[in-house]
Amino acid sequence: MNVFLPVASVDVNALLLVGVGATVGFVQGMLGSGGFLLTPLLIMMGISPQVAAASAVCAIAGASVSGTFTHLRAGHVDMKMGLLLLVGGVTGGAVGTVLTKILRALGNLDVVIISCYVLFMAVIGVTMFVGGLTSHVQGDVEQPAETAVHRFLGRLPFRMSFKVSGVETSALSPLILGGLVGVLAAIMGVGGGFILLPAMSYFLGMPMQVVVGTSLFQMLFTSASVTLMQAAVNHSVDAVLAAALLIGSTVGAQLGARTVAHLKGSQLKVAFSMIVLAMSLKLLNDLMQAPPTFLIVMGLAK
Amino acid sequence: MSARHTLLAAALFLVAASRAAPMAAQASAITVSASQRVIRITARYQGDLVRVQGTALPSDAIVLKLTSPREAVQCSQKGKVGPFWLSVRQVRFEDVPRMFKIKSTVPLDDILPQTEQVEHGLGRAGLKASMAVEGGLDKNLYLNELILIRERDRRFSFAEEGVRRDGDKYQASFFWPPDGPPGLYRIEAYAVNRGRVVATAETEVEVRAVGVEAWIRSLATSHGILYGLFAVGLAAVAGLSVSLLLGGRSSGRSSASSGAVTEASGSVT
Repeated sequence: MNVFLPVASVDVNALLLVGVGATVGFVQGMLGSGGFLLTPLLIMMGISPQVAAASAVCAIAGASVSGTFTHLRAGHVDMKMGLLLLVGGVTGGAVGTVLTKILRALGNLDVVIISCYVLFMAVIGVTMFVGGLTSHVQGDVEQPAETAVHRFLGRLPFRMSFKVSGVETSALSPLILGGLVGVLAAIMGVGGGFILLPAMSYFLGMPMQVVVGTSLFQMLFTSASVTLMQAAVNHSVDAVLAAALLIGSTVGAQLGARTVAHLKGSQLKVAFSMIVLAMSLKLLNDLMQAPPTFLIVMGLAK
Repeated sequence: MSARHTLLAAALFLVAASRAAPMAAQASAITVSASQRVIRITARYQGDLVRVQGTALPSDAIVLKLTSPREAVQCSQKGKVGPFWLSVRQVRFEDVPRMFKIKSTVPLDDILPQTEQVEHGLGRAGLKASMAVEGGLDKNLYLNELILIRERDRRFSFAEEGVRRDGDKYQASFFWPPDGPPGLYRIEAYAVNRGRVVATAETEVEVRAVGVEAWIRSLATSHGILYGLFAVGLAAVAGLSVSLLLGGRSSGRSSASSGAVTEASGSVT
């Protein structure tokens, strides 16, 4: 059963599309991370990197709605921290959207998106592989108390207290973190959970429940604003694609969350890290292969 | 006038008429029609096949050309920078048709000399002569590459033969690829005899997005912010609906393990 994607202008198998969303959601449900696989999988299906990234970020906005409200009701959202993250995120998203437009005009957007994925997936894959292997062999290991990042954050000015999180830190910390996530959301189509969650819990010292609620709050509004900017500036959001992915990923995430209880976490991490590393190598290989033609059609000239 | 003269005149007229009739029938003519005038892009659109048919003298070869309005196209040229292939130059082409397909009863080069192909915009020679590349680049090299790209995405084709004949009737079919843009396309039929085009006819096919597809395309291109709001709203409704269907209570569940969080409803992060 094929469906024609109006903005991507390709016809794809609808079940395959929902299946890709479900697979990513399943991994996400099991491991808490995996949404960043969505854009590269769509690229491998033949959808242009730009439409893939913009539509994936739209799906993230939809996926974050229900979780955000649940955490808001439970009082797990640090609004002060969330708003600072959001200001950074929206600013970063605007910068990322303009960067996307410039890179597209230069003809190197696809290369930048794929390069970012190669780099991020290699880092994530190696980190997960080492973490999974270590915890499998030695059990959970305590992380070192203070690092250079802690010391750097400790020296930043404009310190303020965040009551819900129970921490005191510089206002610049969430602004910088949010800005980084915003840029990544615009260029790569990721929510940034794999950066936000460890950074907020480990470097800012926030309790995990508030980390989850506040990061979801930030992701919802950052991804929604990036979707709006991508739609307005680059016309690259495919709502049909986003909805299909979202339906699949929501179902997959529920299944993944139920399955994880029956599996061993460290083995899952090692297996998943190998998939991520394989995908990273595949994309790296694509970047280094000579293109079939020396010209790439960018679209209608102005 | 005597009866004898009248009979003679009638006989001469019949002889002349009997000779003129086959001559008139042999004057070349060609007709063309398409099985559908409008191709509708819907949610189930996978491209379309349009059957083209018509009549022509059995002694004439037939060439069919499918083409569209022309536009300027921007390309980037890839070059190797270190280990990677990056964009190293922008190349602008003028007068590029969105679609260009040729079909004929016999190979085009066997029936039409290059000059005639160029004059009527037929074949590779005719297409290349009608397009331009800016910036003083090697026209032949760059146009060949552009044509190769368009052949790969099934927008250009140069079928040797592909037109079936049955007496004075002929038939062929053209495939519209799914990413072929909406617009008005023209199908031209050429009757060819002794190295010359002796008759032409044409018909039109319109490709048009309809229903939800048309609305989404129009909104996405003309009202970006409104479309963005619609896309976010649609995604939010889809996410909430599926979460509710699967049991909304699990939506806020989280578990911390090595900094990873399982968020059942916030799935694509």
